[in-house]
Amino acid sequence: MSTHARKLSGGSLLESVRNAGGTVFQAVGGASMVKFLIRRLLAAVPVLFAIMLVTFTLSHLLPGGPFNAVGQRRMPDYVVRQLEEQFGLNKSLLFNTPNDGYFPDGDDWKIIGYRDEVTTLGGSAGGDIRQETRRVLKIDLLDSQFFTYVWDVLHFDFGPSLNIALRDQNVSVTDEIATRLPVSMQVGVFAVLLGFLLGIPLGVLAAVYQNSAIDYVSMFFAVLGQATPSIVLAPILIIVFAIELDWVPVSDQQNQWREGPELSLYYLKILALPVLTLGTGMSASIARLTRASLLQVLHEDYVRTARAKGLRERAVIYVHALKNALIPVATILGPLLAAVLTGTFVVELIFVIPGLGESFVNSVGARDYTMIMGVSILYSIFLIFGNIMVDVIYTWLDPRIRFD
Amino acid sequence: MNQPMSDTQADQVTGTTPATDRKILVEVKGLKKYFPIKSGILFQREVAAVKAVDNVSFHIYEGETLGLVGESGCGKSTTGRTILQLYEATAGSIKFQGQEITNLKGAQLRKMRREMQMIFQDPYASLNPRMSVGRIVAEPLVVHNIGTKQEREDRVAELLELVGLNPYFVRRYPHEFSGGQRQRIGLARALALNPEFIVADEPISALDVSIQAQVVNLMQKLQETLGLTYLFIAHDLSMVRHLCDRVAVMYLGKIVEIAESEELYTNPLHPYTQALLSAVPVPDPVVEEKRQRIILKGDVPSPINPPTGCNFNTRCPVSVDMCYQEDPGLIEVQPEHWVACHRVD
Amino acid sequence: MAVAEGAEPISLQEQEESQRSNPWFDAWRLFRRNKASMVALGVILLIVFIAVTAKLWTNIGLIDARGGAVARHTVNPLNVAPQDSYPDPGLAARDDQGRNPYWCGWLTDEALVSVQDKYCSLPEPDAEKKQWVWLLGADSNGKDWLTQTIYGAQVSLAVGVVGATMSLVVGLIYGMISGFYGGRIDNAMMRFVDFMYGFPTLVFIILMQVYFTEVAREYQDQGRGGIVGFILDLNKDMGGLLFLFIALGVLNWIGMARHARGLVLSYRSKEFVEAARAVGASNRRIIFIHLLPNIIGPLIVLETLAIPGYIFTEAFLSFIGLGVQPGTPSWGAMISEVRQRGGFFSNRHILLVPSIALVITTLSFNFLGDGLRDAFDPRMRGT
Repeated sequence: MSTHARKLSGGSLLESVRNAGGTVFQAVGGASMVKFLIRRLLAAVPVLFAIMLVTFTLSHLLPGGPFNAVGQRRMPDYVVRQLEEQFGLNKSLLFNTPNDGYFPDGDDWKIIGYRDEVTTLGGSAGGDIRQETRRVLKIDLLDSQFFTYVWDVLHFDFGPSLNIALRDQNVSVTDEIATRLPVSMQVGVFAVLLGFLLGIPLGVLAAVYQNSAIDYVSMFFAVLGQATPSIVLAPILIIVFAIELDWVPVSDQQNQWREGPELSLYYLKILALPVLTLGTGMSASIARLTRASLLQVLHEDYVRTARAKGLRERAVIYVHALKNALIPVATILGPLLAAVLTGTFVVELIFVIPGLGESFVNSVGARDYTMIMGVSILYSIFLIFGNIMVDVIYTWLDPRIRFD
Repeated sequence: MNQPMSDTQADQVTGTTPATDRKILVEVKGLKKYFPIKSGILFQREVAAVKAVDNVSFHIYEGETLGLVGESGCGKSTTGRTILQLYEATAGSIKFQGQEITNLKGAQLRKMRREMQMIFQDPYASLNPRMSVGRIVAEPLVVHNIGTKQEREDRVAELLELVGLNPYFVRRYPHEFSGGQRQRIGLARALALNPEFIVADEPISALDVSIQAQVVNLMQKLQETLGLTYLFIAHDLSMVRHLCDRVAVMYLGKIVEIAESEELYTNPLHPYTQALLSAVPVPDPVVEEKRQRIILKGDVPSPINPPTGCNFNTRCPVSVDMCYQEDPGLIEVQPEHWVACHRVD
Repeated sequence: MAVAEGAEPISLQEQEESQRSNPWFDAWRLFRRNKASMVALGVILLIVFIAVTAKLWTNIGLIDARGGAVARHTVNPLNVAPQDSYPDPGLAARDDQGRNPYWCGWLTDEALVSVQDKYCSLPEPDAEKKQWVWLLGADSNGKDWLTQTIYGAQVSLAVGVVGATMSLVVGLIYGMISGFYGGRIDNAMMRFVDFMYGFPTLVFIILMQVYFTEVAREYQDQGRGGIVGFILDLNKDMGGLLFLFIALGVLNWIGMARHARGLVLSYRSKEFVEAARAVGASNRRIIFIHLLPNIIGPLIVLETLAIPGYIFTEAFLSFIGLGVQPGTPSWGAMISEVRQRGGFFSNRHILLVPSIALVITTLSFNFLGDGLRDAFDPRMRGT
């Protein structure tokens, strides 16, 4: 990754390989970048906390709970109560005040104080039990659902899924995300790839042959691609390629998504339509941005100089202009990440892909609080890191910009 | 760091009775303007300051033109803007017609603004592109609520005529005018409130040479008819000689020499002034042939961390040990000729 | 454009011309030259006209098979249940297995008599009876599909325009305050914006929409009144749009605030603002007379280009059932209905109607935005 950056930031690849460490560090901004990263990462902590707080409050405000009904059948109150106690939903929501009436061990409510915590270590068949009693510092005020959750998250424990189908099998949110995230990622990554591989050449062609038929046609399709939402494009693709031409299945019938990617014709087939749906809009945006940016660069003085000194047009465009023209294109990565997240919601629903988007919509319906929280946190982390990444890439590409 | 100028020193600079009985209009004493630089990982705190103007004292007589020259970035624009209270002074005093103006607020400040105006360097940025010429010139009148609509319109027409523009232009927009015409519009706006004092911040630097003379002549004509006082900020030394009665030379936030225009040009005392003047071509081939350029070594040091002692010591061709230890204050070496240099006797 | 130096006299004709040359007029002149944008503007005005006068077009898709007669069945697409004695072909048009797979059929005065085949060809005219057919079919409640598409324009336009206006107003005020006052206020306000940037917008919109819908349902069950009840009623009358506006508005001003602040910062240091200050102009005057007219153009351009995004979001939310209330015609909800009823396999023209409407609308806003951008900033021409 670092050598790549050095190459982009102006030096030759050879040189950077030769003096690997130091030069690369310098090239990517050195100490100022480390400082920048630290600052941005520190700034991300309160953002994540706030997102957790808002999501938590909002999801618990939703009427009903995860245990109220199974299908159409209402659960008896005592069962609901039992389950709530089991999953800690009987605690107060944000803060545990004395008025909430929840006292951890029947003791007096204290803001902060020592309590006995009994751990069973073992015992014998005869019936005796070895226990250890420790005095631990507890903060009663924070003995609430929210802060317990935050505490668990700090220990990378995102809790069990509360969804009826999953909680019986003891599936944790981490497990569920671990199976679903790769599915979403496959679609997302390939869509972004398609976006760049299709968008950049299209944009370059349009700019090089500005005001020609090539330009008009490619830009017409780019604008059309931008104006066509997934919910329109996906059905059209399904009708044409899955139903009429019957080249690909409408959706995965062989549980391939769940079992993981396996390079086969079938895998490519079920991947094709979702990726096309997501990637078309992206490539359209990228093509328009590339064209605009390249046109601007082609009017710069240094490009004129390159032409004046007799360089071939090809060298002018690909060596001098394109590198600088792609800098603004790099900024689209941030919005693109957001678009991938948004896009997967639609695509996963239409193509019945068991990814994160589908899981999120389901968990909202099922009041699967832990799952809602887990997915939200994951998306936020993606977004925050995406934004930081864009800034870093931007600085790599354009030496004029400094980390500040 | 800089040794602060003592009160007695400051008094020495401006407090002595001037040689003539001319009335002082603007009096600047120990003026400082620092711009803070902030940095920090989470919380921004002040880590340093750009000392744009660092302990500057001078005065401007009524009806005269004082030239303020120096390289770009030496703080001459900041000085002009601080006098007009566009920037808040970090320290020091500015007296206008004997009244302290650095602490004015609200209505008092607004009243004071009627007396002093500014014309700007960039004729393209100094006029609001979304306002017609009529509205631009009338704005001071509107802000100060002067006259009826009809009276304002008449005044605008009068002002445009005064600066040599056709009053029919009132409905046009700035983009339809050339640089010289825009500068005239800027002048008309500055004159709208009948000010006593005008700060001209490099008003001709952005113009074509052929048009520079027109604008300068117009400024001189207006000075005669309206009795204006100018602070003329420039880096073009020959134009300053032509226009100004007295000239102050600034270097790195400090004034290094002030003198009457002819005196300064014929008898420059500070090595920096000498170097500056040696760069001006002379329109006499015989003299020009003999002109010796003094090339200063090195670059201007950063105003964040200026050199100790005399701040010119890093580039001075004649510096001695004392220059690295003590800041030379401005000393009147001849009547009305002040210079800040240890090497001048 | 530049006039020769000096004060030469100027003819009256020239003066008249100069009256018409102001920056807004110049922008309009530039915009007018852009054919695609002018067509887009025309299309948008047409869509607006159709949407505003939607009542006039009710049952436009119902055609008397004999020709000549005026459709008299009132379809009120904003309500779930038909208002009058209008038969419900959704129930009538079940096939042998009890499914209701068809969207098109034909009606007599009395009732639906026959359901057409999957291609919805016009039935044989019968001179004896008045016969009604749906030109483009109907939904499962028997509501005319074309009428619903027209009403759907109301939803999409409202979401686009209200979403853009709200985000423009909030973002503009926020960004201007932040940029103009600078210093600590700016620092604090921009920290908050940075902060909001990490929020996954769609996740929150979904959560909020579910919350609003559920609360509305609970209130309806309990029949409670008060302010909440009033707001819920209002939202119901608006077909669920009120809550959609709120959900869209809460998060979308962030980007606008950043842009507005950037523009204010760049203009605040311009010399003409300094000149106004030197004259003694108040902050209010500087903001409203000097800054606002200069920054509003680019921001309107940005918001115009953002309108398709709002329309997409609404369509998507309605598609997953979290947008407008059930029964309110929305293009997203219509596409969703087609999908749920297996419309991908038959009656495809029904899918195309809302799809084309959606694409034409967003396409027009894209072209309009491009044209506006070129007109306001001629340097960006052709990019």
